[in-house]
Amino acid sequence: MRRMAAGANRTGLIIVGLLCLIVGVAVLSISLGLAPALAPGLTPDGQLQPVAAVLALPFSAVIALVVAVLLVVIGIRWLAAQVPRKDSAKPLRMQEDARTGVTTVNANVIAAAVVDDLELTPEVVDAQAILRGTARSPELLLHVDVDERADIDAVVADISDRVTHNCSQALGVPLSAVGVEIGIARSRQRKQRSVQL
Amino acid sequence: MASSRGGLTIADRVIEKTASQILKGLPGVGGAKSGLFRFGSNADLDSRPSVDVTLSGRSCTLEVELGLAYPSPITEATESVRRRLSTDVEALTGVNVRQVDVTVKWLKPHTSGSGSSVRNLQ
Repeated sequence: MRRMAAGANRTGLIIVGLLCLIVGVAVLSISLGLAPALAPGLTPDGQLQPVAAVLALPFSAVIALVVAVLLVVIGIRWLAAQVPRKDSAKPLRMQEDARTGVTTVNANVIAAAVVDDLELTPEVVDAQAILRGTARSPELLLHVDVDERADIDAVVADISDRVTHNCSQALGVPLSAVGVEIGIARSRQRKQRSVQL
Repeated sequence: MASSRGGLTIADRVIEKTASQILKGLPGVGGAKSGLFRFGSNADLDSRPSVDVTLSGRSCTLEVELGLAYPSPITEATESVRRRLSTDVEALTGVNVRQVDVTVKWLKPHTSGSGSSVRNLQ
């Protein structure tokens, strides 16, 4: 139902991996004595005076601070990207001719109507819906919690025949994709005390 | 000679109320029943939709916030709203309706509507 930041994580891991690889190769080349060819004086038993001299420069602390702030920002952005997102559709604009006016419907409004419709099915205990895509190519994702004694085939058939049909009818276009996730509600519903005939 | 008999001024609020009342009569179209200090307002097919008008000379643009019965086709329902407002508002007030922008705030299944709404939709 919700999207994780898989792509961003892969990109971040590739960057971190490449940095580690570069540092590893550099350390290995120093320890094997290959570095002097590129940087004279950089030997395993060499003095670290040139490095220390760079670190002792007056603006080194400022550079370190800027780098630290940059790393903090990157870290916070990465953490924020880990929060699962619904990625609902943008507000749908549904009009034949914009010159006479524009019709706008928020995707959450349609999702809420689908949830209300789903909960009319007797064995559905709880439901969630997300509408993605565009007004011309909408996609519907459903999560339905049913009673543990429910006839799941009947619930799926009801979703397929009635709920998706109603959503498609309201939108005026066929749904390009429908995803259904069924969960089992363990808690028993309160015992019914009366019946309306 | 007509100006010597006096002028007629129609306030924008009059057009808003007129448009809102026209929409109240449409089946499957509703507004929000306002609660105390706008808290606790709830969707109701028997309430009047909210209308905001922008006047420009003898023409106007209407911005409508409404709810619709679900699963009636949204495009058809809002086109019907647009046509009805264009003709009736002009007929009642003399102000030409140039555009009607509609925002659908809620969709409500038939069965959860009030009794009169269900009768209207049947």
